[in-house]
Amino acid sequence: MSNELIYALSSMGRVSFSRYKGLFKTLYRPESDEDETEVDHRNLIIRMLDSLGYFEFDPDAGKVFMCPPALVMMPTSGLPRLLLTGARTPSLITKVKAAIRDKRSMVRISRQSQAGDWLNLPDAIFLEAADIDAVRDVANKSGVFFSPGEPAGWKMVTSSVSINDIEAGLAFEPRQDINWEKRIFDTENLRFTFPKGTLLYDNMLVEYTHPFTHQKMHWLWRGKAASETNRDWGRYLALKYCGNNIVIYDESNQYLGVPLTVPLPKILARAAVLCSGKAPSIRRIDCTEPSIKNNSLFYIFREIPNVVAKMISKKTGQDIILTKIEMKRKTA
Amino acid sequence: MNYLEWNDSIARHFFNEENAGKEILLYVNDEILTEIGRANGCDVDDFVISVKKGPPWISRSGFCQKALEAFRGWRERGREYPPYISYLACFVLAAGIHGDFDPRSYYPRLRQLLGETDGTGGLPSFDRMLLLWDDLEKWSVEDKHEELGRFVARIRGGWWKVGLPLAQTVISKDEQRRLPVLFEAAGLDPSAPPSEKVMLKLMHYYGDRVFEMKTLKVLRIEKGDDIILKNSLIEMVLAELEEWDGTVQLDEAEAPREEHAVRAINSGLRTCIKYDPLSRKVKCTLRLKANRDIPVGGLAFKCEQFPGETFYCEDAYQGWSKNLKNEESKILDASALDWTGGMMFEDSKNNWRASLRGDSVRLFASGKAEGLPGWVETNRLERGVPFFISVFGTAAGKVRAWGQANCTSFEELEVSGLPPGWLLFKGLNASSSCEDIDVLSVSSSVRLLLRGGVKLRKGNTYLYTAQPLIVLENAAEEATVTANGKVLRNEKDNLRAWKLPSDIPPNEIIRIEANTGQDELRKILRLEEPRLSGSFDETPWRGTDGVFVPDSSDCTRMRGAVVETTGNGLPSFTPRPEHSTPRILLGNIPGQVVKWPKDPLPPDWEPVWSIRRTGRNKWRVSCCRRSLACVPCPDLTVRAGKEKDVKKWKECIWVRRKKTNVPELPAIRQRWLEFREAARNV
Repeated sequence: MSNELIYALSSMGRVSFSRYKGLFKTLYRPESDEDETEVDHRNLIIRMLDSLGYFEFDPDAGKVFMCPPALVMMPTSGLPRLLLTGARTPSLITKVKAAIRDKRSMVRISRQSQAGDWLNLPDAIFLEAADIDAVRDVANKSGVFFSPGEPAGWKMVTSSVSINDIEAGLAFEPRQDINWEKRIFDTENLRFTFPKGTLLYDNMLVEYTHPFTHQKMHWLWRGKAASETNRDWGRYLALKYCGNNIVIYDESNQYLGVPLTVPLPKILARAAVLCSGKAPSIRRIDCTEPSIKNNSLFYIFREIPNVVAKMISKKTGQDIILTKIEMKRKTA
Repeated sequence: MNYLEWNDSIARHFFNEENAGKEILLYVNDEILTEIGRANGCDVDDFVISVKKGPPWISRSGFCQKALEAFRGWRERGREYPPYISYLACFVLAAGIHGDFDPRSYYPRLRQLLGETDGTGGLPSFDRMLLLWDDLEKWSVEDKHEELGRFVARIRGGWWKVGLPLAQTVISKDEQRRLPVLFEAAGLDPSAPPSEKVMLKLMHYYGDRVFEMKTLKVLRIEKGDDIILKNSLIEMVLAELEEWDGTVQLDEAEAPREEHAVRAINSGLRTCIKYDPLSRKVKCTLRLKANRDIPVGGLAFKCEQFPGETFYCEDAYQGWSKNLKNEESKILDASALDWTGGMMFEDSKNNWRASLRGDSVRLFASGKAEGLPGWVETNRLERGVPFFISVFGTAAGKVRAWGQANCTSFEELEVSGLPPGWLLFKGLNASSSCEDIDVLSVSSSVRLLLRGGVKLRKGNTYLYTAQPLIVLENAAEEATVTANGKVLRNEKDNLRAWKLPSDIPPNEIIRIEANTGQDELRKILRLEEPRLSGSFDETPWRGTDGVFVPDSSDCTRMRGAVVETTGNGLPSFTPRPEHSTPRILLGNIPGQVVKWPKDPLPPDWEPVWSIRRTGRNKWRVSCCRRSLACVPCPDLTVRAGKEKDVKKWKECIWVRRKKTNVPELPAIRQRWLEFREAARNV
């Protein structure tokens, strides 16, 4: 489905979110009887395509902007391996292949489907080169932007702000609770839930929904003061305040996991995805850690170097939980 | 206004981007012409004067002769719109003239409009006006790819000469606008339109609120040539129903005053069944089908019959919701609902209503075409397909008798899981309708549809890589479909769906023709290859906190996977072989061998090759260096480590050569082969 989706979006360059939804509606069909999974495919796929660097989604403008095609470095230890990201069409791929033909002893292209999971995302296209200059030539000839130097995932993770920066930027001020529909981020069950009984909002993340526009707003409460925050960072702040650790890492397999309901903040999610060029798998995880409920759904990012995993956990204010991650079972 | 000004204004009124992909009726009357001419202070009389005069290049004197002259070679004149549209508009205008005329006469009306009182009968060359109507269709569909609307030159009524102008008046724009009122009042579901027969009944019943007198008269036509006009009207209303997004514009007086008040949204709930022939059990569930997006977060319905309970539904795909669930996230058992009386579910927050139609006969079609498991309720019985019917009460006898007499196969199933008192029948290929049971009326018309695919723009241009499926609804099994004359093959699981052949050319007009034995249906489309959008300048950049930053920002910023950094602030990444899979690291000197991670990384030499096991007695080699230039040649002049290390080095490179996959990159492979040759002699 998503090769077609990316080709369509690439032809349009910039589309309204409603058009995107229309395209998704036309092209998406679940592979099997996935109807009753707990996963919201439409939102999940837009999140994944965003993390894989295909497009930028601006929810305020209600638009999806395709990114220019680019070749970015992967964090591999041997020969340079590059990922083709951004807009693409079959003719662009043909152009890249034609440019490689002149340098076939030095560069090769490979295509890997994201299959193996139900998440039907575009194939990952990789270039492997015996020399980085050969890649530069291929990029020039095919009109693809080439981003040399450090791996993209590494650049992302090192550039990203940390939870401390986010915390320092919070502007707490005395506020009254507002009479909109609200949900509170439950740091034990790791999901937003409707409040029950009288509320004390200390160190809590509260999501408010505008009664007419249905737009969501997130406030982090500290006593009687609150500060607006980003939802993704807000969840990690709430977890930090209660000392819950939920980021897991399998050192030997280089798998990094975060609960499906606590996704990584945007730039860190991109960093994690760009270590492998593959969307994370979604798996049920059994973990002895008390902060994680057994059989919870997790995003599992692959090929995450130790140093990247550590930096992600540090930037999210988490003490990383080292554990063995079993990847055999698929999502429910 | 001169002729061409009138012509282009009329054309623009009907053919514009708002109407892309929609069928256009050139419905012209006094009011519309007055509205079009108002900006220039012109009225209908001015229009008639201008059309009698014609465009500037006209030399002939007869009215139709002038129209033909306006038509001939018009594309070479470089005009935006066909310059004969005013003539066609004039023919339509004549059809609506009131006065002392025989209701079925056309020519006297036309002559009066043009002030030609001398003659009788048709105007000279009037029969050749068909060329103009046909060309208008060609222009809208083939030249403009329906991007301004689609005109279909179909003759309605028995008179082939005047049928086209008459056909344009079958329904007015105001009536078209009011159709959602009928749809809502009749509880229609846009995703499951009823048969023509049922639609006609509903149009009679609810039509007073929507249709003008002349349209109601058409509905009452029972015989004669004009029956075609009635059928066209029904067809058009059904087409509008399928486009309906479920909203009904409230009258101003009714509308709430709040700034953000939303319009009422109506959609249909469909019962779905899964039948297990082994256990003879039926599982009944409920899904919503909507022609608009189900809000993110889903809908929370209340229902009068279940006070205090809330039912949730979330978007699944293609307008279908997932099965409705209760508060405990359990799938709602639809057999507990009142199938006979119907039920209304309401989400007041989203102003969304979903109704389960009440009926004592429910028809189910295979969910395959919709990509759903099991069988899905439908309101239309098609020929040539299998189906299930669930019946309650006295209707059962009638259905049983009908099924046995009119279906290829028909059997009653003994099942559990249906609401109490309901029976289940399984049938195949119904040939005729069951009288008095609306849902079992077999449609007489065949429709050629394009389903799915990605339209690049509004109109009939599709993306080459996401082509539509050609669907022939209600066709007999022997129907054939061609694309540019080439016979197409059916889809595997769907005898009524055809895929375009893989060698269909892009960027050309594709003519789809379907022969059903009785009718010949056609459609035109175009497939365009995806091309990269010209510029990505509008794609915004994000700052390090993920928030969009202005283009002029000189801080570190990201767009997609690309990071633009400022200064040399980023620490460098030192790659190391961290992966858990045990591997053997080799240097360029015999004896330089390390089993990693069992042994530590060598402190005094840098690995050149890494070999890991990929299966039983299978190995794969990869290069550890960043470029070919950094891969040294094997050095046999010296030895490293102990003798066993040298042996191991040779074993990895030479002895196991047939079990080791070589690097795929030719330049690197060549270097590996050099190592292999060298190791042979160690």
